[in-house]
Formats: sequence, structure tokens, C-alpha cells
Amino acid sequence: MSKIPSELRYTRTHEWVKVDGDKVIVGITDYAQSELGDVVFVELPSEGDDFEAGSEIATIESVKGVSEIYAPADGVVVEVNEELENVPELINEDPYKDGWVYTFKVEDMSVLEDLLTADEYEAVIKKEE
Amino acid sequence: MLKHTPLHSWHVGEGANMTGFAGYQMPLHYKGGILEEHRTVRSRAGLFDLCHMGQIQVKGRQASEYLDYVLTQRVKDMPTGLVRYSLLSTFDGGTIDDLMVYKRKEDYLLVVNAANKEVDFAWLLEQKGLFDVQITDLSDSYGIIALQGPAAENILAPLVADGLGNLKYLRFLETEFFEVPATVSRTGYTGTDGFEIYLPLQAIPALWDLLLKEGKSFGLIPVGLGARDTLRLEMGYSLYGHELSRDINPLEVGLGYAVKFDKDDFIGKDALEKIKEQGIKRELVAFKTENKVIPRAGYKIVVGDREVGYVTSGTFSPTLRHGIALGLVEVGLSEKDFYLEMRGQLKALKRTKLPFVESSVKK
Repeated sequence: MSKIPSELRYTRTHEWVKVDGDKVIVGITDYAQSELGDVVFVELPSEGDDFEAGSEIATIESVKGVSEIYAPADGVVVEVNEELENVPELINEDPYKDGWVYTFKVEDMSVLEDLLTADEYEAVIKKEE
Repeated sequence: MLKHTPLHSWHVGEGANMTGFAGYQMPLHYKGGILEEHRTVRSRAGLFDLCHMGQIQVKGRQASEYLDYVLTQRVKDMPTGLVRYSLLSTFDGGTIDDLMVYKRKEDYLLVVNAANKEVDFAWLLEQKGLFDVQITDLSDSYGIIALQGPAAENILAPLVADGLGNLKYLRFLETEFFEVPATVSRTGYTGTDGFEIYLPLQAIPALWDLLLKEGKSFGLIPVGLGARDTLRLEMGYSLYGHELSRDINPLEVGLGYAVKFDKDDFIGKDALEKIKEQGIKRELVAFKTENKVIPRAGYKIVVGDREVGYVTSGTFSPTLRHGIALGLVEVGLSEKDFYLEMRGQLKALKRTKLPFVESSVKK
């Protein structure tokens, strides 16, 4: 059973989101990393990139195949996890902490309230399984 | 509805990541993941469930004449105990499937790709004509387990009644497990030493358990289809649906050695001879990539501002730790710079030689 921490918010495209002061941390879920398998390369966005909700913002290559990370809301990239350049497997080993992908600034924090709760996300992956 | 092999509940119980493949639900990888499974096959040993593959028996008075007509490979001079690689060609030189032919005492066994087994069987019946042969699809009564890796011989030898003797590559012996007849060949699709074991489906789970138990101290682990693909691609082995299809002829992909033009007649001979005379227009080229570029099947290959071909198979090589690819491209471009079109960007492709990784098959 995949881990779904109750304090995080989720997207239908398997990203997790955590509010940290005035910025938002994003990564992929435990379910997503286990479906992808061994991650060998992450193509990160650049700091300062602005994006719209739902756009492709990063690419994860695993041995199995390639998949995209989608933006959960409109925003601007603040930081990217440069550790992933050298240690992409952090996404497999610790998807909710050391395997974070990027942080961003969102204009209106309240849009994050529309994202899925842990219970709602659990229902999404039950359907996929 | 996907079919199950006799090991399905074992795979699920182990927490395997299951996937639909050729009409079967098969393990893509187990908990350790593709990289670990790949490296374990290269360094120790891995066990593969291949019960989805097709097995077609051909026997009768004219079995060898018939097979020499339907296959591109030469069959007539095969001694008992030998395995050969062959293609099943259409009349126009396209490929219906690739397969291994086993010359056993009483019959020939054709081991075919899972995705093609119904089509192959129908084709073989259709071409039977007046040949005095019996063709039987054994796929639903026999299964295959592959044991691959440098430790394979040490694991298997003590379990075979009279040992493996001096069994060489592309040779097999007939033996028994649990008093059930079995065929053991020194063959595989990984580029390491190893064996493939054929036996009735009902005996498969017992042999699987026995091999895992006896192989444990040698580091044997189960391996899924994910690593099976990365292992074969490091060797540059063709995979049907990628390097072979009805629209690709064997001469284009370097499999001319399996087409015996000096045989009297065989299906596809005229068409393939014509292609050989006129020269091929496309060729299979091995490429490697740098800077974390991972080529994938279907990506376009570009020279200058022109699309000249496409990637037939590509992956991250777990051994080399960079991208590798096979591409079908126009001939005559050997001196040019090749690029890969990936997510709207062009990335450099470097021509390289096959195999990508040195084979350790014991020839």
C-alpha cells in the first residue's frame, strides 16, 4: 500500500503539494514513484519560470519510460531540487521529503484548497489499481 | 480479459508490478526494481517466467522439408539437440515472427513470441498444403522458465538427473523434473550464460520454487519483463514489433544470416533475393546518447533538417549508465551527424557498435 501523508494535498496527476510559509513545495507521490520504477533522470524547470496550472513543468525519466510533472496551480518557480541532478533515485527512496522536485510562489494560496485531500487521492489511486 | 501464467499468484504475492503484455498479465518488475534485477542477471542470476510464449510442435514424415519451406533458416541438416534462430517470412519478405527451432528426437519445437502465437499457428496451418506433417499448438499445455546469469550453471547442474554434461550454447538436452519430461537448452535473451527450461504447465510452479530455493545462496532473484527488455537491448537483440515486423525485412536489420538463400525454395525467397540484389534502403544503426538523454521507441532521427528514420528500441542502459538505441535509418548516411528529436529539441546521437555491452554467452 502506498503512503499518503494526511497533511499534504494532491493532484489527479500524482503530485503532492505542501505549503511552507509563502511558498509551496511539490513532489510526486509514493504511488507515482512506485509506478514509474527506478528514476534515472529528472529534467527540472529553471528558477523564475512562470507557468499555468496543468502545464508540464518537469520530466521524469525512469528505466521504464518517461512521464511529466504537471503544475498544480498558476505560479513562479522559486527553487529546484538540484540534488536530483546527481541522485535522481531520491524520488524513489524518499518521495515526500528529500525527493521534492521544486517550490513555487502562488499568487492566491486559496486555489490550493481545491486540490485533493489524502482521502480523495486514495480514492483516485484505488480506481487506477 | 488477460490470461494468467501458472505463476501469476506467486508474482502477485511477491508484490510484483504487473502489466498487460501480449494478452497476459505479466510481472514488469518485482519490489527491487528493474535496475537491481538487470544488474543481478549480469552479476549473479535471474529467473524469468516465460509461460506466455508460444510453443508449436511440428512432426511427421516431411517435417524437415516443410520447415525448410516455411522458415528462412536451414532445418534439414539440424542434428537432434540443436537450436537455431529463424524468421517466419511472408511471400513479400516481411517478417511474421522470429523464433527458435529445436530439433528433438521425435519432433521439432518452434518457440515463438507470445503476441504472435495465434497468427503464427494459423499461418503454419495455411502453408501446410500437401506436406505430410502434424502441427500442434502446445502453448496452453507447456511453459518456459529461463534461468540467466553467470551463476546459472552452478544452480541448475545439481538439479538435473545426469548433470548438464558438456551442454554448449544453442544445444539442449531432454531430461525430467519431478518425473515429468523436460527440455533444457543453453539459450537466452540476455547476453549472459543461461538456460531455458520447457516443461508441462502443471509442473512449472514446483520447478520455479525449487530453482529459487536452490539458487538463493547464489543470489538468484526473480526478474520481470522490464529487465528482460533492457538486457536484450544491451546486446542489440531484435524484438518483434520493434526491429522486426511485416513492414521491415530481415536484411535491413542485420538478420541476413538467418536467411539461407542457397535453399531450394522457401516462403519469401524470391522477394528477399530481389531486395538483396537491389540493395537495402534502410539499415539498423546502434546509437548512444550523452547528458541524460534517453531515447525511446518512436522518436524521430534527424540529419540536417531532414527526418531520416526513427528509434525502434531505446532505453537507459543500466550497465553503461547512458542512453542506448537502435534506429532504422536511410542507408548511406554513415558520415553524417545524427540527432534525436526529443520533446521538441534536437539531441546528439553517436553511432556505436553492437553489442552495446560485451556478451558473456558461453559459446
